Amino acid sequence: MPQIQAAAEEYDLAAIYASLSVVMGGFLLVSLAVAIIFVPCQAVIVYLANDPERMTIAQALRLTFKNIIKIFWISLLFGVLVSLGYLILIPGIIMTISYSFAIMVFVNEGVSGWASLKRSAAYVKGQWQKIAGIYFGVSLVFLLLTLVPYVGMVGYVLMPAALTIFTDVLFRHAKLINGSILGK
Amino acid sequence: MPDQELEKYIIAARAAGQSKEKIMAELLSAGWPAEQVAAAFVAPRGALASEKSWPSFWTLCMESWAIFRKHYISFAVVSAIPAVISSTML
Repeated sequence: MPQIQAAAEEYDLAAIYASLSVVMGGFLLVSLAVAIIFVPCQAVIVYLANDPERMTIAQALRLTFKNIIKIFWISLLFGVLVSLGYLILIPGIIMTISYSFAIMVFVNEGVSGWASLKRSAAYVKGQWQKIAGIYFGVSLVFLLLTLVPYVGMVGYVLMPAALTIFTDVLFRHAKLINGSILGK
Repeated sequence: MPDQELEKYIIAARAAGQSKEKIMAELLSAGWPAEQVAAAFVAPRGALASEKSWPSFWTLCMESWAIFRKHYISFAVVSAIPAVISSTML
């Protein structure tokens, strides 16, 4: 009897693992699809935010499509590293914040690939807690906004733009503070 | 190095939605040297270069808002695309 019970438990465990794998796989696929759509949109927003006085939406779209491969490559590197980091949670959080300026670095300085992530981490260096606190604050504001009926829906739709613009503003301040150590 | 008072004025004017050209014209007509005005605009938005410190959360929000309002329709449309697609997929 104990053998049968053990086998049943093992079977249940296997079934649970299989179900979890399917759910996680599906979630990862949806995340990847969303990232593929989100990242170019984020780049368009950064191009517009970078020079709001002169840049038009058409110019921002043109620049994004011109650099789409580089933008996807940064996004892929960011996605893979951060996903691996989240397997042990804390490194994932640290990397999310450290590499959050990668697209801004590319748009502003033309540095792409792994170098953009490294430069983003250099701008965050020494300011990590401050930036994490600010991100926490802005996320809390959006979370509270989404709880308000109707306003929440508008907040949800505008969140990608608002967060990207906010990150761009943070990037400029981080660059001012840590820029001298990078010779920029 | 740009004057701190000058930068503070620019931050407030940008947060109020005034264009760069208008702020520059006002500062030049008020007698500020062109070099100093140009230097203040080269510094990152809202940054007090001499202090090299973080502005308040509210200032960061106001700076973001000043950028958002310049192209709010474009930002809203571009922002809605991933939001709508992700909600449809999930």
